[in-house]
Amino acid sequence: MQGLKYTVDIVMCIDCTGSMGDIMDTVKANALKFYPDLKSALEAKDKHVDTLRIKVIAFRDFYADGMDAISESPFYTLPDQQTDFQSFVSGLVPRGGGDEPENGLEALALAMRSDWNKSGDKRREIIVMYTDASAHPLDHSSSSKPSNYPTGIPANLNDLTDWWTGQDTYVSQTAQRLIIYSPDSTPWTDISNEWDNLIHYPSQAGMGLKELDYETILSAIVKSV
Amino acid sequence: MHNTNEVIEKNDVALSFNVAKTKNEGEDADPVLYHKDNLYFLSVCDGMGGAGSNTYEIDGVQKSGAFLSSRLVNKQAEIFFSDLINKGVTFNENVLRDLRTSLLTQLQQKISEVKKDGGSKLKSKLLKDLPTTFSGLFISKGENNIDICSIWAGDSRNYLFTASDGLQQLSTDDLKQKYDPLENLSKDSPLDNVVSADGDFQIRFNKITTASPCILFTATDGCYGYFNTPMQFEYAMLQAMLNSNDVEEWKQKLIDEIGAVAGDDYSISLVAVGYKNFSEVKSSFSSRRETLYGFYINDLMKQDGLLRDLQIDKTDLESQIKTIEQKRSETQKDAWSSYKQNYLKHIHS
Repeated sequence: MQGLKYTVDIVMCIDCTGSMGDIMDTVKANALKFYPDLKSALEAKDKHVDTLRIKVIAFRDFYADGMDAISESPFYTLPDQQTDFQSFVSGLVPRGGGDEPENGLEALALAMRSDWNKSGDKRREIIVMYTDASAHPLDHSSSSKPSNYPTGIPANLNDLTDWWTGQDTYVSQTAQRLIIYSPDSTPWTDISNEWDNLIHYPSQAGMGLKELDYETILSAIVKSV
Repeated sequence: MHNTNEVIEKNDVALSFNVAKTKNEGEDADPVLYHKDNLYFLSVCDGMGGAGSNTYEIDGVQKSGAFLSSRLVNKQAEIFFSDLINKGVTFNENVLRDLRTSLLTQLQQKISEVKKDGGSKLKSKLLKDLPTTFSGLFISKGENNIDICSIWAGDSRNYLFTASDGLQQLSTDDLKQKYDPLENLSKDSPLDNVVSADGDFQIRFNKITTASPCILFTATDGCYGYFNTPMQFEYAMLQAMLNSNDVEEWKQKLIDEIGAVAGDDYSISLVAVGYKNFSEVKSSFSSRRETLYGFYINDLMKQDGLLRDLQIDKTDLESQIKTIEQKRSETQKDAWSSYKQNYLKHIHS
């Protein structure tokens, strides 16, 4: 289109529980390289993004970690705020979480509810989930949620599915993309079978991802912008 | 850029082209333009870059599913329709089933050849095996009328273009969100029906009869999808035509007009049916350009010009504000530096 403006927002949900300890450095490295890789892939296709922003939601377990259960960065505009983004990611520490499962679904809901950039002619709203664990059902302890549990979270997986598949509730139906690096476990397997505009790589937070599959993921995002 | 199979006769007013955004990586197939006696078949295919991102090794080179599928489907469509035309079979909805089966068989055969065990571990409803759009026109020219069968899957489009009514879409984009053609230029809905080896697709069909002469063409979304409005796409088609002296020049100008805005590969297959020559096409459409410009384009261009001017003014003003802010900050610092000599003299230690 004449004078076309591209905007891309990325929200990374990163499991920061203790079990991620051995692989946290790799996840951080992957998170940090996603932006330059995406930018290179876009430029290789002659697509020059006007505004690219990225934010991080670090999550653990509301039922085990109290006030330490979630930490949300603002959106960083890249490349101007690259240092702030790197600093936030570098500061993530794997700890707590108790036993499996964790609160990945709440992180996913918060990611969907992000303050997406609504300007631009062609938009992409990308969520990337890194976890090595299954997730608590959203209706877990529904009558006695911890005091720090975020408000307005969907009551169950069906409601969260409506957020993703409904008519632009929070995330745009045309702009949305979800990449999940998680084991083939509840609820990630069901989500990857049911939800559109999603790519699931079944593994511990993306470990063992082949270069070819990584390029397929980037290509699936870039070529549809 | 590749030329199509030049089956079309020399004296026909016809053109086709396929321009890749990135050299050697274009996911549009070379268009088909086939003609015998009073029958024509035109088609284009646009491999789905996002959904067809899986790659396969072909003769030692990695090729995307999108790259492979568009070429395979358009080639098979050409074989299917040229065979139909040569046998003199009339196209109807029953033939559609055979076409679908023929395309699916080819795609499934190809995927069984190229897909290896232990390949990608990715799971996704977004990714498909060998996905491509497809659009085609089967045209039968009578004495005074032209029968047109418009067939498609996806958002490659078939068009009728007449001097009296301008551009008319003969296919309905297979969009998940049912936006109209103007709305979808900005909203860009995903597709809900494309040809693929997964087999979950339909070939849509629309049959119309129109008066001769007319222009008919089929085009991928790279042709029409980057203009601000469908009216501006028609205007570009007319500008290219009416500023040319022959079909070859029209083709080149059309490539330039579309290329100036396109952010994707673009391919088209076009035939002017019932005209004696290119001069007749031009004289027939000359008043259409005046009408289109007067009713639709003029005001849009004026407002685009005003917005451009205001953007320049805005950039200038922002730059001036920044300079004055900087200057003011320095002035304030200097003023304070001098003023504070008296202002602070009783409280300085």
